[in-house]
Amino acid sequence: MLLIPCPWCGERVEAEFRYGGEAHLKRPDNHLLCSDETWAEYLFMRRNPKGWHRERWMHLAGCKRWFYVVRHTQTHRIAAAYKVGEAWPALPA
Amino acid sequence: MTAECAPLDNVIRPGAPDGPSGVALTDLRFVGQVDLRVRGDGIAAAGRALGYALPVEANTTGGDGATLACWLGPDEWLIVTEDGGQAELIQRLSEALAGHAHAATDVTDARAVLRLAGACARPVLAKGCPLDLHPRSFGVGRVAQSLVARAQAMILPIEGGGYDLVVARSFAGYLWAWLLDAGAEYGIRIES
Ligand SMILES: [Zn+2]
Repeated sequence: MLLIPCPWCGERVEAEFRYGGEAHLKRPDNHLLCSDETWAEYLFMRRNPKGWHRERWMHLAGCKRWFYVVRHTQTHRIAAAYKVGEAWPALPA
Repeated sequence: MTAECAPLDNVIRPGAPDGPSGVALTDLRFVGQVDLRVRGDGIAAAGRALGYALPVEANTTGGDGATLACWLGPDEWLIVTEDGGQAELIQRLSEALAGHAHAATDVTDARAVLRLAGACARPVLAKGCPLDLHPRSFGVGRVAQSLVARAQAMILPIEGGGYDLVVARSFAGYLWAWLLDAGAEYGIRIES
């Protein structure tokens, strides 16, 4: 089980959280007028890297805040957690 | 075939009534509870209405003996008061916060409060709670929302080494039965 560092509560077990997928996706400015391809790209296409990944988590059983985690998808190492609106920490080398 | 444990054995006949009792379970029944959402300048204004500052450090409490404010999030607190005090508390908060975006909601009837006390309260709770419950990191003055036997709960350490567990009322019967089962090996008794 992962130990996830909630930016407010500190390290808690993974069971307290819900995963929210890849972070920092930008919704098309006008989804009514954008092309189907642009909309589908936003809705369905993800980077799915083998490596460092910026992703969303929500502390469901705790403070109920959404925040961001930098996690390595192969090793599960977590390098950073940061709040919505904070500067993005750099990805580890 | 005689079953080892009938479905309601642990509810009706908890623990080891003949042996020493290391843990006690109490249904506190009615505890006044107000959920307060407020941010920015409103946090100080709410503190002036309460007579003490709302705790802004995560997972801590503040209070004056009459009410206790438990940090739930950076803009959310649960304020606990005696039963019947919640209406006056909401009115006091609403007047103080008139100029601030806020919500003060009576959640008294939404949650049950189960008190787990006694020398063995910690090992009982630890069976189903992933928090570090050691007093050096989780003693009186702290509070946490976490899981107890997979149910979401607010856990409040109390004087003497026990905990008040605040859960949605629909989970109360389940958690009650789970605690009786978890406490059976320590000799759990029900107090009123
Ligand atoms: Zn949290």
